[in-house]
Amino acid sequence: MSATAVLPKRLTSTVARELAVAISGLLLVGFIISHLSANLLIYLGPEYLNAYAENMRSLGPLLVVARAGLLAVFVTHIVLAVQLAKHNRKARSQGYAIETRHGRKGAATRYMLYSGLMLLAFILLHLTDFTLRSHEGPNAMVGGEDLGLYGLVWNFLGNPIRAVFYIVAVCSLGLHLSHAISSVVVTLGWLSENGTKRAELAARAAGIVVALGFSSIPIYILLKTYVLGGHA
Amino acid sequence: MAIATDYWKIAESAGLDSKIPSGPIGQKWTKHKFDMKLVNPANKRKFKVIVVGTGLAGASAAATMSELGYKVKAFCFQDSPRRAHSIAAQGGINAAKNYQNDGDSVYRLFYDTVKGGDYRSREANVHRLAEVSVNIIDQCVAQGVPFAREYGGYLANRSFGGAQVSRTFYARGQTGQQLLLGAYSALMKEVASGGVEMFPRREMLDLIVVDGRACGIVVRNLVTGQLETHTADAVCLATGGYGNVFYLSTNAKGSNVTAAWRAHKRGAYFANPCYTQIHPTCIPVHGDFQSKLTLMSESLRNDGRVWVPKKPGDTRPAHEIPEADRNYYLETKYPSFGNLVPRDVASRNAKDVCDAGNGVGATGLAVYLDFTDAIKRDGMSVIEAKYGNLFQMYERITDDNPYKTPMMIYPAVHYTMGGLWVDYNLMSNLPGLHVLGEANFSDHGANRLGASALMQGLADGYFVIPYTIGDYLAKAGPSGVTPDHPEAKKVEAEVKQRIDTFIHMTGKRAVNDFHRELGLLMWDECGMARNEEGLKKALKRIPELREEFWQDVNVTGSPGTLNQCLERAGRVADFLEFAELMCTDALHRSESCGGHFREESQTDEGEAKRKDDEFCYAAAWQYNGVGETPTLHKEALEFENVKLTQRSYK
Amino acid sequence: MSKTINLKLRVWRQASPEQAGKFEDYDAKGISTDASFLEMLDVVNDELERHDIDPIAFDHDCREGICGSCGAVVNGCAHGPESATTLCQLHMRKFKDGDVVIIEPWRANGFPIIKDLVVDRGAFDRIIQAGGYVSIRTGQAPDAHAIPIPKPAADKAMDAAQCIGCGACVAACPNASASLFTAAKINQLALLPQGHPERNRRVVAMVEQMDKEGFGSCSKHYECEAACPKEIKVENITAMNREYRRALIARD
Repeated sequence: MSATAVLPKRLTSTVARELAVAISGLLLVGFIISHLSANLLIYLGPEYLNAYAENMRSLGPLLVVARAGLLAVFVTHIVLAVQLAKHNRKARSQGYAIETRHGRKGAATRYMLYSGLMLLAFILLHLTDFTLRSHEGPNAMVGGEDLGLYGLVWNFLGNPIRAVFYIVAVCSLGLHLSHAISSVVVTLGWLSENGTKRAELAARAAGIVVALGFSSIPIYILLKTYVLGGHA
Repeated sequence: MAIATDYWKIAESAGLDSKIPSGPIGQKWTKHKFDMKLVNPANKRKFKVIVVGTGLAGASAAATMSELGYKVKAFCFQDSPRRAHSIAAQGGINAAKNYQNDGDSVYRLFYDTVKGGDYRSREANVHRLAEVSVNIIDQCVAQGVPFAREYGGYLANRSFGGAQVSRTFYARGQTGQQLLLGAYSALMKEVASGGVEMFPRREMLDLIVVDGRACGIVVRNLVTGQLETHTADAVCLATGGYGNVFYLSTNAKGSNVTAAWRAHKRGAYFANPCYTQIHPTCIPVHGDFQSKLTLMSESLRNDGRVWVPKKPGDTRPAHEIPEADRNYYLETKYPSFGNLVPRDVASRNAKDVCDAGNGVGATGLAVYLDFTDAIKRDGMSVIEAKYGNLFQMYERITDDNPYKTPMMIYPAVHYTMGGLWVDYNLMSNLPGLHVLGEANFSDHGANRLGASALMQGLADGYFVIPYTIGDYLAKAGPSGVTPDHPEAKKVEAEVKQRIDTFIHMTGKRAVNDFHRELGLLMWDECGMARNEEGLKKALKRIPELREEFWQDVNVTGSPGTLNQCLERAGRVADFLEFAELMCTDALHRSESCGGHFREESQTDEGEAKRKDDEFCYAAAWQYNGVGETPTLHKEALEFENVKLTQRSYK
Repeated sequence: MSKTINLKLRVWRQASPEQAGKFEDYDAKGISTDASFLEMLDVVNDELERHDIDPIAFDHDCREGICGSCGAVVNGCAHGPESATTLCQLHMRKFKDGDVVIIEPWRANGFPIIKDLVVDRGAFDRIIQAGGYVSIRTGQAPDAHAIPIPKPAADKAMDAAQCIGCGACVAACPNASASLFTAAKINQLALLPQGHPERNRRVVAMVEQMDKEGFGSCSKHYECEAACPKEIKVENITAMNREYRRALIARD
C-alpha cells in the first residue's frame, strides 16, 4: 500500500481500484477487438495480414509508445486485480463448513482470477511465438514459400498441440470477458434498472463471439492443413 | 371510589402536580416554551444527559439534545441502536397536516386522541402532541425518509384505524422502520460529531438517585459482563413498554420492563399499568413453542370482513359455510364503523365470539378476516398492490394463502399505554428522571389510536424533551455526582449482588418456563377482560410463582461473558414483580375504560362503561417493597375542552 | 398442517472472541413444523438450560423479519435456504425429519465473532456514521411539501431504504464485501433531493469507512442480492459506483 500512500484517499479505495481495473479492462477489450479484426485478415490471404503487420512496423517510435501504453494498461489491470483479490481473500479468513452459491452468476465470475492468470501465461507464450520472433525465415516457410507473419501463424497454429492450447486460452478469454463486460457496466455505474441483466446477456454473447472469432483461426488452419489441403 | 384495601394504600398527600401551564389549550405549549428557562449555549456542553433506549423517542431525543450542545450518552441493549422495536411498526404516523383538505386540524387530532383514549389522558399533553405532529413530518422528510407519494410528487395519506380523516403518513408497511432509520441516522450524525457517545449492548440495571435527584445509571456490558456506572445531570428513559409481561406479545423478544421497574423501585411512580392495548389483527397462536406473536397491519380491516360461523363448533372449511351461516359480527353490531371500530372494541368482540364457541381454526381462538368480497369488488391486482406484502408475510408464517382462504386472526398484546408517571415536562416525580415514548404514561389515556405511537415517540424526542430538559438543567444545575460517589458505588454493589445471586441459581427449570407461566396467567386474568375474582386469583398466584422462580430457576454460564440466560433471568424476575402491580392497578380501577375492560362495569349491550365520577384520574403507584402493598397517588384529570361522553361506534 | 420432526444440529460454539470455536452436535427433538427456526433454537436452548449447559447464543429481537438482529449461515446459506427470508421467518416446515442442519455465524473479518452465533456488526454503524445521513438539525426542516419528489424516485428510494442491516450480504459475499449495505444507503439518499448537497462527500467517506472495516470489494458475484432478506438489488451498487465516479471528478 506504501506506493499508493501519496495518492489522495479517494483514488485508492477499493471502489476506485475496481474502477481502475474496469477502465483498464475496457481498454484491453478495445485492444482485443482490434487484434481480432487484424487476425481475421488471415482469411483474405497472406498479403493482407502481412501488409497490416508491415503498416504496424512502419509506425516506428509510435509503435513503441503504443506498446508501452498497452503494457502499462496490462500491468495496471493485473496488479490491481491481483491486489484486490488478495484484499478480498483476507476479508474472509475463515470459510464456511459448506460453501454454496445462490446468485445468478456462474463459473465465469467465480474463476475470474484463474481465467485471468491463464491469459497471462498465454500472452507470454503468444508474445514469444509471434511478437518477439522474426517474421521471416524457416518459421515462416509454408510449402517452400516465405509467407512472413502469415506463414509464422500458419505453422504455429497448424501444430495441433499449440492449436489446442490456443483454443483453450481464447476460450478462457471468452469466459473472462463474459463476466468482465457485465461487471464493467456496474463498476462504471453506467446502467441501472434492468440494465444489469441485459448487460450480462450481452457480455456472455461477446465472450462467445470473441472466443469463436479467435478459435476459428486455428480451426481453419487445421482444417486446411489436414482435411482440405492448401492454404489461403 | 378506590379506598385503601389489603391490596393498596392511598396516599395522604395532595394529588400529583402535573405542571400543566395555564392559559387556553392552544396557547399552553407556546406560552410554556417562552416561560421555560434556557441554558446558555456555552454552558450546554457542560451538561451531561443519559438516554436509555434508542427507539424513536430515545434516538430522536439523543440526537436533538446533542445538536443543541448537550453531552449525551446513549444506551441500548441491542447490538445497534437501529434495532429498537419501533422498527416493527407497520401502519403509519398521524399528523394534522390536512394535506387532504378533508377537514383535519390540530384540534381535531387532539380531540380524536382524547376521545380514542377514552378520556383518561391529559388534555394539555395531547394538544401539544397534535401541535408538533406537523413538525415531525417536515423533519422526517428532510432527513430523507421515503414516505409514500402520489404521482404529483406530494405525500400520500391514508385513513387509519377508523379515523374519519386521512391523516396517516406511511412508508409502505414499514413506517416504523423508516422513521427509526431517520432518527438513527440523526443519532449516527451526532455520534460522528462527538456529541453523542453510543453504548450498544448495554442493559440498564439500576438508577442512581442522590438526594432525591436521578443522576446516573448502572449498566451491564452484555459482551464482557462488566458493570459500568455512568453519571450525568439528567437521565432520560425511553425504554418502551412492558407488553412482554404476557410472554406472548407483538413486542420484540428483548423488550422488557427492567429499566422502568428499576426506576420505579428507586422512587419513580408507575402510572396506569393496567392499560394495555390488545391489537385485534394478529396471527393466532400455533403451539406451545411459540415465542412471539406477529401483528398484521390494521389497514387490513379497511377491506377485509371479519366473521365467524353462526353455529358454535362449526368445523366446515370457510368456503363451505354459506353466507346465511356466517356472522359478520362487527358489521351487525356497529353499523356505522363496521370492521373499523377501534382496536379495543374489535379485540373484545373477537374474544367474545371465541369464548362463545364460535371461534375457528385448530384452537378455536381465531376469527376470519375475509378478502373474498374485496377481491371480487376491486380485483386481485388492487388487493395485491395494497396488501401483497402482508399476505406474503401471513403465508410465510402460516403456510395458508389468504387470497384463497380467509385469513385467521386473533387479538394479541401490542402496546402498553401505562408507564412511568411524568408531568407536562416529561419529568417523573423523581427530579432529573425524564421518561419518553411508550415508557411514559402520558398521551394515550386508556387506549391508543392507530398510528399515534410513532407520533408520540418522535414528538417527545424531537420537540418536547429538548426544550423541557433545558428548563430542568437551567434550574437544577449540574448534579456534581461522579461514578465514585458513595451512592453510585452502593447501587453498583447492589446490582453486582443481584447478578451473583442469579448465577448461583441452580434449579431445574428454564427461565422461559417461568415467563410462559406468568404470561399465561396474565393473559387469562389481566388480559382482554378482567374481573375482581380473576385479578385476586392472579395476585395470589404471582407471589407464589415468584417464590418458585427464586427456588427453582436455573441460570447457566458465568457473569463475565455474553450470557443471554442471565439477561433473560433478570428481565423475568422484574416482570414477576411488575405483574403484581399491574393486577393491583387493574383491580383498583373497577371501571371499564379503553383497553381496560372490567366485566363488572359494562353497559346493557356489553360495551365498556366508564365511571367518570370515580376514576377520572391517572393512578400513579409508589413502590413500597417487593410484595408490599403499593401506595396510590392520584392525578386528577380535568377536561376543559373535550366533553366526556360514552364512546359509541354504533 | 403441523407435525413434528427431529433434527441433528451441528452448531458453531465459541465461548469468546479470543477462544477457538468448534462445531458441537445437538439433537432437536419433536420440533413442530409450524415453529420458526429461532423457536426451534429456543426449544433446544431451554433443554440445555435445564441440563445446566450454556445455551447457544444468538442475536434476535423482533422475530418478524424487520429488526435485522438475527442471522446465521444454515447449511451454507445466509438466513437459511428460503429466499427473501430472515432466519426468524424461516419455518421448520422447510426441513425434513432427520435432516442434519449446520449452523454457523456470519464469517467476515469485518464482523468479529463475540460468542457462538453472535457477531459484532458495529462496522455497519460506523459506515453510517461516516455519512449515511442528511445533515439537518431538528427544527431546520421546511414544510414537507416544499420539495415535491417524483413518485418513481420516492419508490426507488424506499426500495433501497428497506435494508435491515442484518449483514447477510456480507456473510454471503465470497469477498465478505459490505458493498450492498453501503450502496443501499448511498443510493437512497442519492435518489432524493434532500441527499444531494452532501452526495460527493458521503460516498467517498462511506466507502473509505467500509474499506477501513476490513470488508472486501465488490467483484459482482451478486450473492448478496440472492441472500438479502429484503431483496435489495445490486443496481444499488451500480448507483454507488456512479456516485463515486461523480465524486472523483467533482471539486468538493
